[in-house]
Amino acid sequence: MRLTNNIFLQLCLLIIVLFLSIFLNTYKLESVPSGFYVDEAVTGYNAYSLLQTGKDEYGVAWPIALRYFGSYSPPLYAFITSAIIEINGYSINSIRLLSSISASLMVLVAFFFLKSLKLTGNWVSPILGVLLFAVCPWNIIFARAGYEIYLGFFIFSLGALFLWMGINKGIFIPIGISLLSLSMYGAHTERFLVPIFLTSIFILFRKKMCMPYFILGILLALLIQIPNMTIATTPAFATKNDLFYSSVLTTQSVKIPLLPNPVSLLLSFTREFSSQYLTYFSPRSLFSLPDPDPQRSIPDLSVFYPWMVIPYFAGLFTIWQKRRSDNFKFIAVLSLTAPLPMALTGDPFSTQRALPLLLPLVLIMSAGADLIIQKLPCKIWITASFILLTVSGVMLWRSYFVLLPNERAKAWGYGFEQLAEEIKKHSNEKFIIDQSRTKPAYIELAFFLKYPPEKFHQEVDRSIRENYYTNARFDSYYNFGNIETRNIKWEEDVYNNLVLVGDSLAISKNQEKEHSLTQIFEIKDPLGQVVFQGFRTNPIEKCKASSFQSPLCMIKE
Amino acid sequence: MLATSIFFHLTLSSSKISKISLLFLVLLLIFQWQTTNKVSLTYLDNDEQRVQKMRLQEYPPIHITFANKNIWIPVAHWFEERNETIVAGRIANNFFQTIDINQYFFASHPRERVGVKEFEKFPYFFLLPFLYGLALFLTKFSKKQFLVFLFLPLGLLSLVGYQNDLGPYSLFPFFVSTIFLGTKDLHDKFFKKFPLRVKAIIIILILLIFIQTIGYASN
Repeated sequence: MRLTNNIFLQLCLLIIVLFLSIFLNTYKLESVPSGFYVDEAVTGYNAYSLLQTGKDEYGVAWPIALRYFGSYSPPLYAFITSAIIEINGYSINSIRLLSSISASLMVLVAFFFLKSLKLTGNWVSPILGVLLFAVCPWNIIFARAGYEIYLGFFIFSLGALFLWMGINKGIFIPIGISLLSLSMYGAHTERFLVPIFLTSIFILFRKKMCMPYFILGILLALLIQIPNMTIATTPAFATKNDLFYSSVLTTQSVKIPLLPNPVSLLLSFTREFSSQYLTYFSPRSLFSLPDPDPQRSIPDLSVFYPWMVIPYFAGLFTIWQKRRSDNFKFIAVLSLTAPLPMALTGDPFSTQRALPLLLPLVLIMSAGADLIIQKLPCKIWITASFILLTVSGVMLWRSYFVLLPNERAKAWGYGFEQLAEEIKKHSNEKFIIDQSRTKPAYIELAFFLKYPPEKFHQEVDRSIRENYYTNARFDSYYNFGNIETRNIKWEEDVYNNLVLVGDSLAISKNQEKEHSLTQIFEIKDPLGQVVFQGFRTNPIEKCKASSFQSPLCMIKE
Repeated sequence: MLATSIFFHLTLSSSKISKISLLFLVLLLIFQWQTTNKVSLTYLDNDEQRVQKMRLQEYPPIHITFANKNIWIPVAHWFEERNETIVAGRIANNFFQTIDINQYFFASHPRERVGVKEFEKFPYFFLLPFLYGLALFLTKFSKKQFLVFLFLPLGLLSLVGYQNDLGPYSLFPFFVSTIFLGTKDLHDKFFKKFPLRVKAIIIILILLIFIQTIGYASN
């Protein structure tokens, strides 16, 4: 049996993979992941606010970086999402849709990358490559998350594709560099990655590049960067600097008392950086161990399926063998530069920040798969591919569509939608939302209550608007409508007519009894664990029980 | 360990595997087997039993209707309770822990394992010679040697696990030979040609990293 080169068949298979990708990226998008993560809520509400008023949640018109919780995220995702809300309506689905669209289009980018890089000898290999890309867990996690990570990755990859094409045909260089520049408005990672990647490509391919086109590209890129440059000197542009592991270096340098401090610090940095960098290529991190952050991982599944280790190693072997050819040099630069910014942060294997590594790793695996295909008889590799892809599909179904909605509901902010319903039901009562352990609750409630943005702008701290790009400190205290988000003040709150809301640890049975509280609702996650509980205070009962000792009882009297 | 490494290295360029090096390897594997605290591949500790119990409730009921009859498919049991599934997961976990390069050069940092005494098996300045040696191994030397001295210990370690205070030492001959290959080639190709000043800097750096490794190990 022989498979002949057939462009029509390849196109048909590509369309099938594209539809499979669309299905995987959009199936039950509203409910899986269950809950609505705080980063999605802040993106969604800001997009809604921009659509309604042309201003973000703080009342600033079309900001260059969105303040969010002091993170100053690149704004492109929220800007485009505001248009999606206009077309598709105000829903969780609309907030997540841009990531899903980007991920579906990424299949085409990966395909054209595989074709133009000429990595594979067999015509089926590019299809297998995009299939690996479409079904891999790393792709699916962020393809269904309603915030900026995937959009930045998509624009960056598209820019890298045009840049590669530009090495052979100069006209594409300005498009590639412009897209890379644009990706810096997509996500934080690209702000750090693009300059490193572009410099590396220039150093390695400068003799092959058409210089006038390259200079034109750089000029366009600088033009695109003008808005970013206006805030480059403000704290808004450097919010991720605190992720650097400076305290770790100080602690570790103490372990080498024999050496002078500057030397031991330098050695500690070398070791820390090398170990962090190597983790991004470690088979244990890629095929076995999930991201330590429960919101950025799938239960029992790493970023790739365990069997993918075989094409990974085969691909690395191929890359090494063909290391002198331009296409493999390009992949090497793409894969070696992608984890550089992440290796400077203390998080061990951050799948979110390292997303740009996904594409080069899939390209490496595709080269490996091609090597295996060429060594094996047709019947064997077709059967093996079918079995492995079926097993992968089953693993994905189990981990992503069965276990994740139950086990990771809390990590994805489950319960706020139900809490908003309770607040609507008791609209004449004042709610205190305990903030001691939960992520910022104000934005989740503003989103689910569809709180009018004009009113919200009036009620937030106005000093933020005046020093928008310099006031990076985030305070979780908010007071809008009938909601206040802060820690419960037991010495005051129980003497006022309020509804106190907290998680299962916020209000104990003893506190309920001691402060004469009455439980009015309880919200549970799909596993039946309490996410929120709401208690109505009873100031008169409380004052009676405490023999009117508190001065607040006198005021009540 | 040393004898296996020496005999393995001496026969690297040969296409046949030396009987003496194989004998030493088998002895090493027996020691590895004997000294490892073996955990049953189907054993579940208390927390794993809790998770298993919880997960059995999470699956939706799945059935196929055939001739007006519902045939129920026990997917929850297949995925969570069957020994085959548990064993496959365990072997995969042991395998990936064994091939984690960070374990050998950075004491598994930054993803240290719970309940395992982590230590650096080699100072991290050997990382580059190791990777380079690995590439040389695959392109210039006998694949048979590579397969036997890497995959036999890997297979054993995947089965017996990683609960060993001395670490996966049956892989030591493979690592040492690979590092030696890489170091020798790097020395011949690059180091030799460097000016004396650069050589001195590299040697000082190696010494400093060596001091660092000892410093980390003693803390």
